[in-house]
Amino acid sequence: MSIAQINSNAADPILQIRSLKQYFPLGKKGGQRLFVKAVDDVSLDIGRGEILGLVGESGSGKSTLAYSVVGLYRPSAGQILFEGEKIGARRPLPLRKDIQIVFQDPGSSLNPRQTIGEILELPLKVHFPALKSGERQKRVRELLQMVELPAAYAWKTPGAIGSGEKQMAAIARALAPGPKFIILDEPTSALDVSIQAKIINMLLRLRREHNLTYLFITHDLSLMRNIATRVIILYLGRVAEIAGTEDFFRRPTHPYTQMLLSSIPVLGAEDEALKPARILSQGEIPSPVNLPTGCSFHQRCHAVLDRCPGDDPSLRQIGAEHWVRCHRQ
Amino acid sequence: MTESTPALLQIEGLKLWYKVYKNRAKVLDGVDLSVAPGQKVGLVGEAGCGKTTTVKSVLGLLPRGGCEIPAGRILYEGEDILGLTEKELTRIRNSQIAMIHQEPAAALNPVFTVGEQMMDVVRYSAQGRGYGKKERREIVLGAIRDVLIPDPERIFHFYPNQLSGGMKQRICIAMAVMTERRLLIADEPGTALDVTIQSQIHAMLEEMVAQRGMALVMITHSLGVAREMTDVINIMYAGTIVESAVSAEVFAHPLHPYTQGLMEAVPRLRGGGIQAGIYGSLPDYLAPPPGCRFAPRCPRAGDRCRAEKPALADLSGHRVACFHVGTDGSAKCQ
Repeated sequence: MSIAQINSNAADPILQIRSLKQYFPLGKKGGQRLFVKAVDDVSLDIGRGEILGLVGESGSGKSTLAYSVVGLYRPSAGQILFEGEKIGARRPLPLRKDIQIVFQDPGSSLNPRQTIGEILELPLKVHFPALKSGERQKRVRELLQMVELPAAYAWKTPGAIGSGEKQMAAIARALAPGPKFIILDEPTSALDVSIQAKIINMLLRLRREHNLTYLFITHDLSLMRNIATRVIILYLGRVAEIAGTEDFFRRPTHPYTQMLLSSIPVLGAEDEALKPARILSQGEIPSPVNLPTGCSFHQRCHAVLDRCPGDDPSLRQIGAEHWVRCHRQ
Repeated sequence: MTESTPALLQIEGLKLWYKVYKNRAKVLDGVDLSVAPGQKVGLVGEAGCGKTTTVKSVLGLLPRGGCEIPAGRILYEGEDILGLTEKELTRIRNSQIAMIHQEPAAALNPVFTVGEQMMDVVRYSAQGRGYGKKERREIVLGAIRDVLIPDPERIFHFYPNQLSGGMKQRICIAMAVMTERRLLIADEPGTALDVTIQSQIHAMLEEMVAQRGMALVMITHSLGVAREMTDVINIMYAGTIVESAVSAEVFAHPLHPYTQGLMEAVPRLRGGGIQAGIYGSLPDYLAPPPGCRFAPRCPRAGDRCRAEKPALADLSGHRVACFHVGTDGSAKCQ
């Protein structure tokens, strides 16, 4: 079965990714052209209203996948469909309005020399050129209210406010064009947990109020347990496991998923019981330039089989919404 | 923790102010912390609460002209470190206390090979003075082997940028424990790394500390990490220790409103949604609240909290700084 069939049962997919490849050329070595295979043949559907948790370690290709979806990269191969229509890297304005992104570090994604008001006005100028200045100001105040910031913050610069507040301003900027789909690229991983809780609750409220769909990129599985509808594990540019959240945490199947889960420091015995027995990571995450032969995880795998180093497994379905790339299944 | 064991490190009422133009950022506001020999002590709090400032003041790593210490003592084996000269402090740094920093890439010097900088550590340690170059080299190679890095001879000649983040942090651990020390301070050693690598690094750190019988001060913002790695947990908020107890006790009966809020904000594997978190943000250290520093964010704060600073009161071993916690250890206003 091809991976393109994943979630073909999703009644109303808002975004469909089909065999997406994102390779970055590194020049030649010994007559051979080298590539970083950041995203390697990823297919998935995101249903309208979903919160899809995209989880992986650094170098797994999570951000690259996100940038391809917003159109910052031209895909090396494969297709991205938004509401059934194929979209490329160059997009008409209305389409850009629909897909927005919030970056990980608000300190570097907001211009330090502009006020929050100016930062929020720019997308309004681009997407709603007919708005008069007064109407724009009013809209800026509404946006600040939506993210629970005081109206006076419109005159502050990013340097004058806390990092949690900066991230709220960045979320307001993403909301400014009135998007349908927002990519959240580790929006809370640079923040303290008490602030994270506040921002997550705000994101959940905004999703309800504005019928948003989120692709939530993170390395925090505990967080996904609480908010995602489905979870995808990405390893070296490929999908290792994908499942509905309940099923994912009841039956974590890929050895890499099990390793990730077992590495989470938890607060009590109840959570401890939900983790697989401790699996210590062996060795290092391989370089995406020199991918291992066969299954790309076999060098770190605690359940490796004889065939794993030579034979690359394909994604197999093991449940209604549950797919795993492993020979043991 | 029994009071009868003499502490290896004892911080008492430490206040520390950073000089900011004509003003003072009053960061530490009476920190009390005690580490017994061989004990693993956690210092837990959110960004900017003064965790790193506290341990850096122990090692005398803060700029001498840039800060002042208006009150408090730091006793190492009964001797007040604050009164020492730079030379006497160096003696403690090179024979007693080692530190692992949060960012391994910044802790290693990029223009020297791993081996060169590790050799220097041995050379300037109290213990390594008598060794020749060959012996120092043997110690370094052994230390690299101890942190499970294959082929130490090859790694010896590597520059830090040729190593991954996890490898660099393992080198930093090797450097900290390769000569005899009694206390290891680890400042968020796994935070810059991926979870699988973080758990590898933590396991290694635990093993090294246990093997050598060292005491450990583990700084972390993660309650989960503190639970896994430490015997005693100190919860820090805005320059004060607000709660201190044996780890299991803190998780079973968190007493301070800040600790409770922090625990509720952590997403659980069992699910149950995300709680509200803690309202507001850290106070401005230039003009901190006069009473309890948590009062402006505290759901239980009353007039007394806003006027008067609660002391760290001992409730049969579980210490907490809050007016709302009764002497029997129960929280009155829960």
